[in-house]
Amino acid sequence: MLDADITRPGQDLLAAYRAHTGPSPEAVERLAAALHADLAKEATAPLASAEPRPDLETADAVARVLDLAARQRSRRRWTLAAGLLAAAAAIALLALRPAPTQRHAQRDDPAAAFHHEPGAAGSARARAPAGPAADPSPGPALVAPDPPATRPDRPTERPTPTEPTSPAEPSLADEMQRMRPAQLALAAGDPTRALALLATYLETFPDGRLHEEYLALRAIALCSAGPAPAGRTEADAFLAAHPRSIFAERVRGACDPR
Amino acid sequence: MRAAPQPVDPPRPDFDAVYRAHVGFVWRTIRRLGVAEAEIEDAAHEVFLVVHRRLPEFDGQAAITTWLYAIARGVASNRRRSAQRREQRDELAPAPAPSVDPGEQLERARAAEAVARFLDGLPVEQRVVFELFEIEGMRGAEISEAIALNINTVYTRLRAARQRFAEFLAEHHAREGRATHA
Repeated sequence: MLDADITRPGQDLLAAYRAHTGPSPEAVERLAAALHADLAKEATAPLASAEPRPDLETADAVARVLDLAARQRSRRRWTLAAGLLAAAAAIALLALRPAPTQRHAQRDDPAAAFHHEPGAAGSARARAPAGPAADPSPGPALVAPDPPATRPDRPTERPTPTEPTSPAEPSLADEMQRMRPAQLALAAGDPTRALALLATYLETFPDGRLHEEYLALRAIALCSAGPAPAGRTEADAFLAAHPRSIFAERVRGACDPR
Repeated sequence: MRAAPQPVDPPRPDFDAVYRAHVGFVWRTIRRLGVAEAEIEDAAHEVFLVVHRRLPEFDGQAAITTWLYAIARGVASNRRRSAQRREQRDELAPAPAPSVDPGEQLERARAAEAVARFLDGLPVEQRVVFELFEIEGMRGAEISEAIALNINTVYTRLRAARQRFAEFLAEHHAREGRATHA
């Protein structure tokens, strides 16, 4: 049945999975303590707290991009991806103004059959806040390399709030600025130019924060450029490397419309 | 003297409450987005720092899970963390203590593994929707917004995944029954 609820034994299995893959109680408390320590530090260091941290700006800005992505669905898929990046660049240039109000999709809906099922989303929702449970064992420390310390080719356009605190680290706005022309070219139906501009982006930001977006856009551009197999190859590589990417759907749409 | 009426601030979610209610969701979302096991805690740390900064902007019109998902997605796709915060956490860490009965833990691990096998067998498009709906309790419209997917497609995939889950459950219970009677 399309609207059949998941049975109680099924719910129990899902609850076990939910608990098993969530944080342990110890991790929850450890993380809470660390967060409070960080926030207390920021509160007692007004200068530092007034200057956004580059890493947080990154996540922050990307989150804004994704906020916008949800609103950018329209027309053909490659245009969608292009629109996303355009919006992202625009947001970055607005220098972190408050995020636009999120729209909650209230559509007339096939959801009805699910929404009034007390056992499915409702019960999961009720349990979700409990979150912490069995041990996911964070494991041995994995020290990820810091981003490159210097960027000799850093663009010198408009400064962003991240610059005073991290002059060696290009901001996300820099990257978005550099990627925007590629996106515009793609939106204008010129995937060849988009590819050239994407190559420029990669040259400038070989370890950029928008690398996943770069790969997605490149695959879409290649697929839009013609029937050559390169696009499909890139799309396959992208989907293999980022099977859960939020861009996966768009790449599939552009490269494999079956 | 103040002639103008004071604007009434809408109630804003409290950071600690958001943390307590949604740390599990954020943790699993980060894991689902492919962050390495050893980095999940660090990534969750980063997500909640962003949440703290942006919470005053959260207007409540979207589901908070949708909002958290977007932040987690941004963090997960940009994982390049230093060990700094992990080291700090380790200093603050309470002594680990077993909090779950080992037998119960084993039982739960077996159940979780079975679900993980089921999820691994799902097409990735169905898996994302199934996990967000059935495991995280997000609504269809929230999922549609979070992953930028047409809501009809969300439900189509959910139906297909539920059908597969029903089949998986039947097999799972048959197998368990055979194991019990063997």
